[in-house]
Amino acid sequence: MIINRREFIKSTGACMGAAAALSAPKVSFAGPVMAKKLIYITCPGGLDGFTLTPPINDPAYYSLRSQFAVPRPDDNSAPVDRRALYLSDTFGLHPRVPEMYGMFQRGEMTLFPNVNWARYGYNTGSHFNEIRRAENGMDRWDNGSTSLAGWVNRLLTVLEGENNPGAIAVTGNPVLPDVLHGPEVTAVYMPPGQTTSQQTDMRLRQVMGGRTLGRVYSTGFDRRDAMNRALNGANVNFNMFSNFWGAHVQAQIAGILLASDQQYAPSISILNIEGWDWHTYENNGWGYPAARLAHLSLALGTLVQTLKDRNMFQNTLIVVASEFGRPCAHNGVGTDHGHGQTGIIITGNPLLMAQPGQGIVLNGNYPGFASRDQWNCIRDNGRYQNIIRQYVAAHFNLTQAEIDFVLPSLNQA
Amino acid sequence: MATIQKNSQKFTKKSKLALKAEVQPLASRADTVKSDFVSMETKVAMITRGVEAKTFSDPTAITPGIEALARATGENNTIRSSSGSTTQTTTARVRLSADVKSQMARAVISAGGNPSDGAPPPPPPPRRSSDYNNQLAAHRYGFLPTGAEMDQMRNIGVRPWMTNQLSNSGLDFGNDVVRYDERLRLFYDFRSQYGGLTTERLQILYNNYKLDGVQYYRQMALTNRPILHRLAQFFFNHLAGKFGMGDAEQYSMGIQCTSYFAHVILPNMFGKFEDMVMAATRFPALMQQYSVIDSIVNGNVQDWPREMMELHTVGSDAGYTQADVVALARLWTGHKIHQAANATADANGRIGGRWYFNAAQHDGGAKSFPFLGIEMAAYTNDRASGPDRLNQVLTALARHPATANRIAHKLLFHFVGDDPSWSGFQSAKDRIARVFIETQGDIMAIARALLLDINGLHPVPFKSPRPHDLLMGMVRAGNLVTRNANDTATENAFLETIMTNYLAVLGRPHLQVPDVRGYLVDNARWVNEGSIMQILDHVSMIAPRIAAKMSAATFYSNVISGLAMSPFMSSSSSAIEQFAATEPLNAIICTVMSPEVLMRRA
Repeated sequence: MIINRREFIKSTGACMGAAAALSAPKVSFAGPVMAKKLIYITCPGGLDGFTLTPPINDPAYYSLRSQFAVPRPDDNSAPVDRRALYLSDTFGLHPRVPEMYGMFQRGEMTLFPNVNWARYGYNTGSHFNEIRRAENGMDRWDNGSTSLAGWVNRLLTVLEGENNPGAIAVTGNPVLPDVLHGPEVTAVYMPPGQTTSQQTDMRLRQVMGGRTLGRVYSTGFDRRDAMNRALNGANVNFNMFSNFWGAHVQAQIAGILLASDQQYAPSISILNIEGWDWHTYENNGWGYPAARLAHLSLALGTLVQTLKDRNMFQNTLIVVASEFGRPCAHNGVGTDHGHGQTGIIITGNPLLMAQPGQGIVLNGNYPGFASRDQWNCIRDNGRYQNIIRQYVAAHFNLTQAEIDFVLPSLNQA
Repeated sequence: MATIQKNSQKFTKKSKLALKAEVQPLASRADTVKSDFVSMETKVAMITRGVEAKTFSDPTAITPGIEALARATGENNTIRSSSGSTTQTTTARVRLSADVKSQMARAVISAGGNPSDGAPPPPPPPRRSSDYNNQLAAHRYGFLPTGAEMDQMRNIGVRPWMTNQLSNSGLDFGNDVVRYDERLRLFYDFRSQYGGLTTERLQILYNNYKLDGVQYYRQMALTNRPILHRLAQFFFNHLAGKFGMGDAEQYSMGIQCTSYFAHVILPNMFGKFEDMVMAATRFPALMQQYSVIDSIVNGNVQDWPREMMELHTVGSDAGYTQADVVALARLWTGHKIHQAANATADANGRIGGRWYFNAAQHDGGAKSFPFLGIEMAAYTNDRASGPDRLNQVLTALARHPATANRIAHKLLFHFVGDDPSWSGFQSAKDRIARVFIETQGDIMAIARALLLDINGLHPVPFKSPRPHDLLMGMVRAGNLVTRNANDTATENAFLETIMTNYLAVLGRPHLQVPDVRGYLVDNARWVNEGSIMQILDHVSMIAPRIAAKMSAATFYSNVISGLAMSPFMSSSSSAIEQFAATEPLNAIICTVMSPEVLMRRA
């Protein structure tokens, strides 16, 4: 069954929370507020929504995608394990994402097919411009500029009054992602390394002084110590940490750190699951894309289970985003850069969960491919930022001013 | 009461929000601004080295000089004092622009001390003042300065030391063996064999990658032309492509990066930028990674056509549109690699592992490139002209003023500083771009424009070295690679550990890149809490080898003493001198982790 967003608002209560946050005064709590957590997962490269959530009831999809299309759930000519999983009469789910399917069935995951970061027709087609647009959340990409802060860093600003200890990227890479850039303290997690002696530490603090480098170092030293304590005893395969296929390990670490009671436990974590820019090698939809989707599903499953094991899932909002999707029409050997993607929201927050088996949301009726252009996408299914904005506002109980500062509402048209 | 408190908090938070919103655009300038607050106390301490201490016991003694300089330069500076009295405090802080500071410092140096007291001061220690420029140049354009480099710069001067490196006479540059064809033929031979790229065959390819890499690392460690190597790394990074990503096949392509470096980047360093671009488009591993070889008349792939414009030439803000991308994708069809192992030409003139053109798979229809103003009528009867037509368009892109501006910007970003608002950035960028346009992308002419426009080598915005350069700098400055044949095997094993192990943790192994933008060099990506601890780990692992080779005092002196003790800086790194003898390991670690190295300034 397809429900539109208005129905979704009514049925799930997600936007009851969002609406309350956006229109009503902030609720005061007499007791301590339970820490809320956010995990933002980037999938750079252009994750193909038509492979993850194929529109199984649209002949145009099967025509445009031809050999790369995911067969319908009832297509007896295809092997059973290659047929789409049933989500609704309109959309299916790729069969290689069993963990995600389980979340959908339990109401933990809500999918938003064909949503865009850029205004429709204004996608530059550039990975990096659109990543900047998505990560700064200001509908600008300003190529080459170093002045744009990431929206997660802005979120830290508004959470500052709640003893927020910051955000950490657990990406398998030591570089800081754009979404964390800004004035608030953020960090990159790296596995335990050498032990620095007290004397060396003292000398380093002496030489670096109290300015930029000294502050970065001293906080980094203390934070790493705390994180190592949090991970001590956990069964983590650090050898896979920086591996292309190690996203599930990064997810496990992120979950443990967020749920830890250490002083430096972050409120927000960033994961980065790359490998979605498949112009070729699609092997009729069962090569590279299927393998990466299976890996994404494994990572998400690991993350959710890690949080559940630590009783933290109900306090956590997980947002998965790519910079754009792929066009429905293929180029003969694969797909190029497109527009819409499938938005993925996962949460255990009871206010934000979907009804079991109903977390697939369209803005109005399924528009199909009636208006085809160079992007070959389903048009006008809304901007992903406006959806994430609602969830973030509701999850963190932000005021209108706060969420406007973090993720401003964007024009649909 | 709780509600009132909460509302009060909210008000405070909102005020803070508004403030943050205003401050945010300035965030990237924060470091520049901070650097303009020079501790008077420290400045006095620096200035008074070698001068009678009592002359400057009162920091206000130099205030008139500062004010005079500020007036002379039209700067509206403010003098602040924590106590409100400039005569009683030693913590007065002066906010000065970099230009004023540099003028002041020049005045201080030329006067030998206090610019306002009029007394004939003793001359400053000559080595110290010249070492400041020497070390700044070496850090910025080379690796960490070595003892030999410091001697050379003291002997011939810093500018000749830099520009001499750009001559191609007596070149020790580049791999001395041409293994490219063999490597690629071997790869396609493996692919064509039964079983394809088995683990064993991948291991052979990987071993070749390590051999090539170690050989190049030795050259980098021993070269007397570090600037040339840094420039080559820059252009490799600029045209990095997709080395180091994906599954086994892509990985096997990725480790062809050493051949790419040796045969696309290095040979064209003394040529034109467009030559380098053309060579890249014929490099088989890159053609395969970008799927160019799959691009045919009825199925063109837009990946490289888009990124050729976005990343390798004009940049995404140049004004091209999707129509230009599609036209270039159509033009870039029919380009293939002969996927075989034959070392000599077959009946069709094809050699294994090399580019060839299949006219039958080329789209010869009419094309329009609105951005470049190029119109191509249909040439279906002349499809063989496809490669020449592609070259025409790629050359136009490579010579485009937007490319010139972009390369100029990236060079300054890579070598000098992230922040385009620093004084002199725009004029330097314009000058480099102009040279690019006038010489049609002559790489050495561009390099000279970069090196000669160094804003007087005065302090500039903070720039963190990428870990690759930092570790190679330690190898060089610590004399960890020598020409002693008896040590070669041990040294090579260590170099292999750096390129495959250490650098893997610090981003990517040697010549492999995190994404098509190359190895990222933004300050924020490396100077953050997590990354800095990783850098410390690896610096700590290399430091004992240096301690076994030389005294910590010598290492400190060669690498940063001129910077740390300069009147331009307000550094606490000079403290290293005091514990270098008793704690050599800590002194070496602290030298490399100092602000002078990690931020290329104090």
